[in-house]
Amino acid sequence: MIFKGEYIHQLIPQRPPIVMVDVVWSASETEAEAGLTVRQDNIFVDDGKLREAGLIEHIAQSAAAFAGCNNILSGEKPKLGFIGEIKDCCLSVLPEVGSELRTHVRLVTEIGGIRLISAEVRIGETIAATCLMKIFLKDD
Amino acid sequence: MLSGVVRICLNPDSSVYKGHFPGEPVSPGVCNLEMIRRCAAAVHHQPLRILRIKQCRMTSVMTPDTTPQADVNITLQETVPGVYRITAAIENGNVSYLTMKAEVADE
Repeated sequence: MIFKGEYIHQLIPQRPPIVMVDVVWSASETEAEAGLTVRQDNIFVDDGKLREAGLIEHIAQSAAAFAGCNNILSGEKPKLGFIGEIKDCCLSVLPEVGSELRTHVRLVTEIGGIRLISAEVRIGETIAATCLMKIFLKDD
Repeated sequence: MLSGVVRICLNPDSSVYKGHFPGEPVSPGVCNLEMIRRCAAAVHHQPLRILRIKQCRMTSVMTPDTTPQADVNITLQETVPGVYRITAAIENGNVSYLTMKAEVADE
């Protein structure tokens, strides 16, 4: 594990109540692994389950933390990122409160300030979601 | 086939904007997605769950300052019992914020 708890704030521009990553397990220039334990007070939890928007935001912030790790290595601050496009996104499981999400994100391509990310969210051995996401990074 | 338009208001006091982003309130793309899910449920008169997003394009940034209100357009077509193809868009005047094609199911 390389980042945990409030140290995540160094990697991503989001702040509570919308922080959806609580650990970064590993990161390289091409891929990263991040996680989230779903808590009852998460704003995307409804009736004991993390809703679709929460799952996708977790993917987006895993990608943001991944980009943030690379920014930190080059001494930059995390940039604001916006989801430009979601494609081929399969939401198989709505994770229950207490679930530990472990998410693998991989950089498919990067052109200018646009990153294309492929992501897979697992709970144990079960695949909860897979997704392709285009993220626009805003330059300061 | 079932279709409808729901007019929504962004709540500038929502706690979401405290964290997304500090000093720069922007409606998170995934919240726009959640608006579609809830508006679709309102049109359908039954809760819906998103199974698969074929494509969702977020073309403009929505903020409570610049976009206090918007229209959510929903079209639902049943493919097999309880499963629907949804086409949805969020727009205001001639500005498009989001377009989506997905598969949803009765919850």
